[in-house]
Amino acid sequence: MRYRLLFQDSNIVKSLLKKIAYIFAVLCIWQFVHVLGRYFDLIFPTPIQVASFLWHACADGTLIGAIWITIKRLVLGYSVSVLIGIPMGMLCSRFYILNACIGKLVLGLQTLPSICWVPLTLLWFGQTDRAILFVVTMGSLWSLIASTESSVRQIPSVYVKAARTMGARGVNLWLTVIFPAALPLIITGMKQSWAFAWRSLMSAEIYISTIGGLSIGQLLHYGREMQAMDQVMGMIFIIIAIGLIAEKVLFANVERILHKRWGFIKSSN
Amino acid sequence: MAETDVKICASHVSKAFTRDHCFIKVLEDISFSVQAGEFVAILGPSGCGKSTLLNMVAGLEPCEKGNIIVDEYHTDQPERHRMMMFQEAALFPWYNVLSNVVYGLRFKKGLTNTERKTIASYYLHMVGLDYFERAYVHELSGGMKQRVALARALAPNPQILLMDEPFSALDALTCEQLYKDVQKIWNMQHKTILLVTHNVREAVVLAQRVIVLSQRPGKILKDFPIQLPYPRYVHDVSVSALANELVNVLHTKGGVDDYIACV
Ligand SMILES: Nc1ncnc2c1ncn2[C@@H]1O[C@H](COP(=O)(O)OP(=O)(O)OP(=O)(O)O)[C@@H](O)[C@H]1O
Ligand SMILES: [Mg+2]
Repeated sequence: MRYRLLFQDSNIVKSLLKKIAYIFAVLCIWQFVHVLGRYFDLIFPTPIQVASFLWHACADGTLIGAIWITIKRLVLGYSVSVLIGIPMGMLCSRFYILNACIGKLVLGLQTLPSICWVPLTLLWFGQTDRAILFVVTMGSLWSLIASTESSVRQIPSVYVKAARTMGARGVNLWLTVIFPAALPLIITGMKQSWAFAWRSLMSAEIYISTIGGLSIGQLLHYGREMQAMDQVMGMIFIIIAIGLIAEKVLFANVERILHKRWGFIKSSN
Repeated sequence: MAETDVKICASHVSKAFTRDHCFIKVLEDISFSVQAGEFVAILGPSGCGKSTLLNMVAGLEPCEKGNIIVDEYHTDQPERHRMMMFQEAALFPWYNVLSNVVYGLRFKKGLTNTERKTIASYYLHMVGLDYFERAYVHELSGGMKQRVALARALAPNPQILLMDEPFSALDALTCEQLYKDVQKIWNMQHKTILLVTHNVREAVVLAQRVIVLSQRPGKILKDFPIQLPYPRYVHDVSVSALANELVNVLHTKGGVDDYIACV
């Protein structure tokens, strides 16, 4: 038993070392391309320059401040989407008329690239935080309504039958059976809608410059205006990192646990 | 058994579904009655409309023609005194075992939550799952799931238990054990049980009477009494003999007249 634990530990260390080695190799190739191509630092900075930008931005607090502002907007805009989208999707799956009325509208708006909301939101709200939140919500809401609606339609009907024989009706049936039964699929829809929210936020932040603190999108944008390629690349890394952490660490884990418990995938032991 | 004590009475029940513009006749002119406390099995080939019939008795689906009367009431709504077990266990994976059983009592008025839990524990004990109250559904084996489903169906103390092939996905040994348990519970609690199955031996082991349905559209071919003493075991010679006899009935009478009229 003990031996196996140790063995597993060393496996973890091994795979970690492997990952570090891969990353190091990629960085070496990057540096090599820079030297070989005799690119200007202005166009193609070295990994060390990008790292030093990130280090300085961290040290003087701009990066932390920007991440804070951006995450706050993301959470706010996305929360509005969730609070409206999930109930709305469930209502759509329950009431045929509602689905007939707004179902097509939802499908249409879902295909609209979120950047297309920017002209509208600028006229409505001006260069404010609210304009950005509007884009984030519009970018994620419609896909969430559509996915929630289809999640609810996919639940096994035997759950509803069983609950009805046990006396569950109306709102009780929805809260204690239909919603939890659809939850794993709803979470999958939420993950996708989160990705839309994140992309919308980046477009909005680049296009809409607000007064107040700098955000991640703005740092990226100013990097271009100041022709500071190390800043542009550094910010791209930060954006990727935030996306990965939320999608692969937060959502993926919740999704995996729910899918396992709800019996969508067989547990492997 | 008193003739007057009719619990379930189906008269001239027919049912058809339309799917993809096709008109599928599923049940045709089904009439039968079940006495209070009787154990009746409905036996028929796959797809003949057994589940549909049971759903109609449960009040989950409307009758198209004819009617089903339980205790002098039409069965147009599900009621807690008719509980149902399904082909799949249909347990809720978002609750643990105890909460699943409590769910059957959740909408029963005049009980406190502790009383509900006590009753649920009692029935879990009855099906032999005392130590699994806190387990989640995905941690149970197929047989355990059906035991929990049985406890959940028994907890509201229904007068009628409707079972839709609850043992069809289980292995032979688990089935054998569950047959014993069901006989014991039926003997103890005097419920009226209507069991749907396509397994001849299962019907013979459990039921006092087997109603044999034809292939789709399901019609009643024969009403077959099983006069063997309880408790019965799957491997009893008398059970095998009767099962063989029933199989013969199925072969001689079950003409294939699959009937789909496309409109
Ligand atoms: N909601 C529905 N809509 C359309 N057709 C249905 C519906 N429910 C059942 N059917 C059809 O009715 C027929 C009988 O179905 P049912 O589930 O009652 O069969 P069964 O006798 O229980 O079969 P099995 O032993 O495989 O469970 C099948 O052919 C099925 O395709
Ligand atoms: Mg069936």
